Amino acid sequence: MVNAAIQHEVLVVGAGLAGLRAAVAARQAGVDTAILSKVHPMRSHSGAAQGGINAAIGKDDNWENHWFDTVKGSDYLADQDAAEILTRSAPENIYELEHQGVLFSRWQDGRIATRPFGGAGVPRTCFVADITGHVILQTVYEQAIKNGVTVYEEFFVVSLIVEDNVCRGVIALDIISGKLSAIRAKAVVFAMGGSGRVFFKSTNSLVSTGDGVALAYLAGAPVEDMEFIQFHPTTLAANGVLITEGARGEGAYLLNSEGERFMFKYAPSKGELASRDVVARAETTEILEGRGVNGCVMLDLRHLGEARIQERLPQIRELAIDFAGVDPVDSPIPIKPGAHYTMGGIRVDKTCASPVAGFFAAGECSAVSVHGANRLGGNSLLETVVFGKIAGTSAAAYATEHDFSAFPDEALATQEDRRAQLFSSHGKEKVGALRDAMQAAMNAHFPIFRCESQMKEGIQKLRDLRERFANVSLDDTSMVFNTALTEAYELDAMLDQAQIIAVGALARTESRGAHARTDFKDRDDQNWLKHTVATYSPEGPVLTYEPVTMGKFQPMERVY
Amino acid sequence: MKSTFVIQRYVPGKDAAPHFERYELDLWDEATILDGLNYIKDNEDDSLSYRRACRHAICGSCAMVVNGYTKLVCTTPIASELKSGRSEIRIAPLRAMKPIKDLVVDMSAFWQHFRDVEPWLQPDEAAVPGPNEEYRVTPEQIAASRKDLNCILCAVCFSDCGVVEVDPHFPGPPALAKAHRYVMDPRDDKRKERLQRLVDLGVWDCAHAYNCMECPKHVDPAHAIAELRRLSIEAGITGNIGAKHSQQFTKSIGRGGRLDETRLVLELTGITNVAGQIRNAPQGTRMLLKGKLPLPMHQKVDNPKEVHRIFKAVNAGQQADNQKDGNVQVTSGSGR
Repeated sequence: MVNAAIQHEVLVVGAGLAGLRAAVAARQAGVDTAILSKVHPMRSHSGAAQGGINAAIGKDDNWENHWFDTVKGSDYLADQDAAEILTRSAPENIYELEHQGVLFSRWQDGRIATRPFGGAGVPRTCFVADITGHVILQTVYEQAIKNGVTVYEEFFVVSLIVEDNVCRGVIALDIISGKLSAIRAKAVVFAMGGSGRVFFKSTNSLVSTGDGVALAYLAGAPVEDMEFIQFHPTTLAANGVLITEGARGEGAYLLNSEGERFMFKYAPSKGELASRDVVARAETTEILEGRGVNGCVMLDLRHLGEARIQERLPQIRELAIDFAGVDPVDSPIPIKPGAHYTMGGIRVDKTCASPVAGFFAAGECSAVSVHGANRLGGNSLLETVVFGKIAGTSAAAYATEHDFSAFPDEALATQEDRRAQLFSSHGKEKVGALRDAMQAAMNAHFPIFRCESQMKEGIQKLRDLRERFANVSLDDTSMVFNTALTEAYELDAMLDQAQIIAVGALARTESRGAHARTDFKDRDDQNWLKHTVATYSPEGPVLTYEPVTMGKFQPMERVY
Repeated sequence: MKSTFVIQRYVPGKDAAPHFERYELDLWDEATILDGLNYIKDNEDDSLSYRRACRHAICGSCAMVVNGYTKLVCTTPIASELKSGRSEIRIAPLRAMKPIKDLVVDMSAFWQHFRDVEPWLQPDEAAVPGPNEEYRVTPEQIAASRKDLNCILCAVCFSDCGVVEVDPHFPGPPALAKAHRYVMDPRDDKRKERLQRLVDLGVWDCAHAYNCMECPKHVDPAHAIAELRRLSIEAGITGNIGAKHSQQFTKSIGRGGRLDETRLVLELTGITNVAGQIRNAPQGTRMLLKGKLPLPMHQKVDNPKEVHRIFKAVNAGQQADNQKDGNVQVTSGSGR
């Protein structure tokens, strides 16, 4: 039965960096490849990555140091084989990007420059001023055009179709026309980004709603380590917009209300350049103990001087002026920790294959797992570039060896019905209000420091919100560019992710990386050196646990 | 802070034509226009449709026409639009593109222009470094395209460009800034081919309105376009009306310090091109009747010798620069 309107050998969903890298790799492997995204590829959130991308290319560095820093940063929850691939292949991936056109900032001798970043032993972060993601995203998109990848812009995937544990394709909404279509593919790669918008004042784009994680989960793919949410130490109070770690990499100080560089109390040797989880907790402690400034601490760049700031950090200077009303040349920027990155995601092996045949994932929506319990700054762009390419190569190989599978007849009708139901609902609940309530609940009940009673209350709130979602109605029931509809889909997906994060966090009775509990303050390698795996059931996520792939590095106490 | 948003609404199939609707808001003092739109969508009418993503001027989604000027609404505070006693904020979709719904426009032509300039590096394949090294590029060489890298393809300048408005073939400022980025890239090997392509696509059609200088990311497409034109002449691509116009224009000024428009038209058409001159005649007549034809007797400036001296100095300077450029290429040392 061929009732799919569109078909491609490899279909990549999500056109940020991971997706574009996957699409280019699959196309270069000679298979018919399409990429589909709910926003134009140039609008993807990868473009917001500011500070840089890690690779041990300096003469005083080697990939094994990078490997160790990554594993230590992960609080030993990263799979060491995956982290090895990430770090060992980082230099060749950087040079590949450079050969494709990325204009990395340089040393005077013409070589690619590196700057220090958190949790790293040496300056290892390659960059393009503070617009690194933006420039890499444009370059890789341009490669996709050049290589003849078919691009479906502004298509929203509403369902991943799996039968008998074999991926068949997706159902997608053409946002502009409102048409729902079945898209059949031999292999599907999800590269749909993280779950940042589950939280209030996240650094993430309004489109970073983690749809891929939820769609994969609902289709039966396991989801891993979702309780580990990174709070970035430096975000603007007004709206959560990111101020790059590159600011501290360039030498900025963190000051409390007494003007003290407090980080050395928490990280005696690294100070401001400790791992993100460490810095975010330190800031929170300073604020909770009364040494904050209106709920913030201060990021001081003044001693860098205007020339350096303008050369290396021009974007964040402008953001501070626009959104905090301060020019960092003259005044410190008030900042605080904000939800930033989803370490967990769709569980995949080191070839980016999920346990569902023909279904692959890469980038922030996946857990391969190279970040474990805490990601190092500069490793997320790297992951998208390295594992995006691996996912595309794996998907192309799978597509070459397999035929198209049948696409279930009823899949499209199911989604037509789901939309019709939303359109005909007269319920009194509104998407905007429910989303705000969900974000508030997540920030209040699953913040940087967590405890059992607080999390249990949060889980109850999420349950209530899920019930209220059944009574959502839309003002907009038109077909063309209906973003009320897509926002409803996104909220539906976020409520699932919130629940997975919540139950995983409650179950994990230890503190590791970004998951810090006031009632279980220590890391517990005896019982918890393992991945949380959540699988869908109608009653809620079923949690099981899988071992971490260890290797050269045995868990040690983590000090910076 | 109270404000009134007056927003263009349009649903195809339902509305015969776009119309404006009013929304009364009372938001926090620092709220941006995007915050206002989000507030309306979340609390008053979820059918309000617009594009948005990053909320901090890096994704390029949310350009709209605000009180007559195209802006990114994510970085435009409501308060700044209420200055000078204005009480209403009028929001319309980008110009020069067909509205799809409300504030959403069809950008397919915009992206086609972007693709038309072949926006990817085209190096000399034999000169690509090995897999474990980079091209050596100095910070100074990067500086030549540094501003272009800032472009977020938001279409603010595309919307405000007067030539884009009337000529669907003109690539527009963003595509040309992107083209400039690759033309200036020391790793690219196709400068002349690119310049020829840009001349064919219409780099000479820019009419110097300089609306594109109001860029939210401080890209300078007007400068990029001027540079592309200069480089195309330098590369010997002069068999086109744009280059000829530029050369004759310069000549005309050099002669008398003031443009001799009549002679410029005659020379551009070709003095001996009788058919061409006849073709120009009806327009000439119309201009004459409207009083737009320049005086038949061209007036030079009072002291043309001064102008001659300036031209001499500029030409001498250019020659020196060219020599310097030559040296740079040979030693691949620091660029200009």
